[in-house]
Amino acid sequence: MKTLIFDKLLQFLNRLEQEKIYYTLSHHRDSAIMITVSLPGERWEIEFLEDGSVEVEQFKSYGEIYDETCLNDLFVHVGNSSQPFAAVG
Amino acid sequence: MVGWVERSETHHFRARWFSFHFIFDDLSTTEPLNEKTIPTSSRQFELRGRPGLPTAMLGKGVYPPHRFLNTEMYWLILSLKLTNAIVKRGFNLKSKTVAHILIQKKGTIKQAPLPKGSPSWEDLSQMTWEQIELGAKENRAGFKIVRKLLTDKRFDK
Repeated sequence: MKTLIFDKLLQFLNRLEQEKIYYTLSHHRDSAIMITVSLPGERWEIEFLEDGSVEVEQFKSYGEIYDETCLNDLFVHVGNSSQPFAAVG
Repeated sequence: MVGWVERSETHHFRARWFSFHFIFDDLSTTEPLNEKTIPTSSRQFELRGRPGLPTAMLGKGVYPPHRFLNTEMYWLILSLKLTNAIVKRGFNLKSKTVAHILIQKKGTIKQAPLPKGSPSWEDLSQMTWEQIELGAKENRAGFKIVRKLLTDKRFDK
């Protein structure tokens, strides 16, 4: 099973390269390898798991580009920060 | 608590020797840990030496990287390094409740949207890791995303 999933992973990476789709590899879970695929307005997190399964999560853009004031929202979102973000320069 | 240290002293070759036993709780059980519940392997270390002398060595045969450090200093550095390594390595989820796992995770993971029909975080908190895995295997709403969030190291504290 583990060899099969490795073959599947390699096959998938080769396909991404053939299609010239940008991706990065990462390891965020003990039993999985993640491929983050960047598409216009979308990011796909594709994980090949040790048990032979594949999990896919998609993130889609709201289609808007915000300015730096939005960075404050980021810190508010993650928790208890009441300090405004000041950009350098 | 990530672990603890036990210190013992013995007299050998007309000198006083002491040992530090590093016993690290990798959170694989909610039971109080003792030497029986922790397999030795990488989790238990022994540091022996004579007080004040740079003779520290690890029971597993690893010598201190800096021979001029005295034993007490080396103990401090080592305990910090091991604690850090264990925190980075993650911990065993077996038999833990989601509430227990969440202690190690950033609170923001609860802000991730769950699909319709998912249990609430309050209900999920009572479940064990095995129940989450079973739910994910059975493809029940929300369980795969919760499993992913709980195991994703990007969201560790």
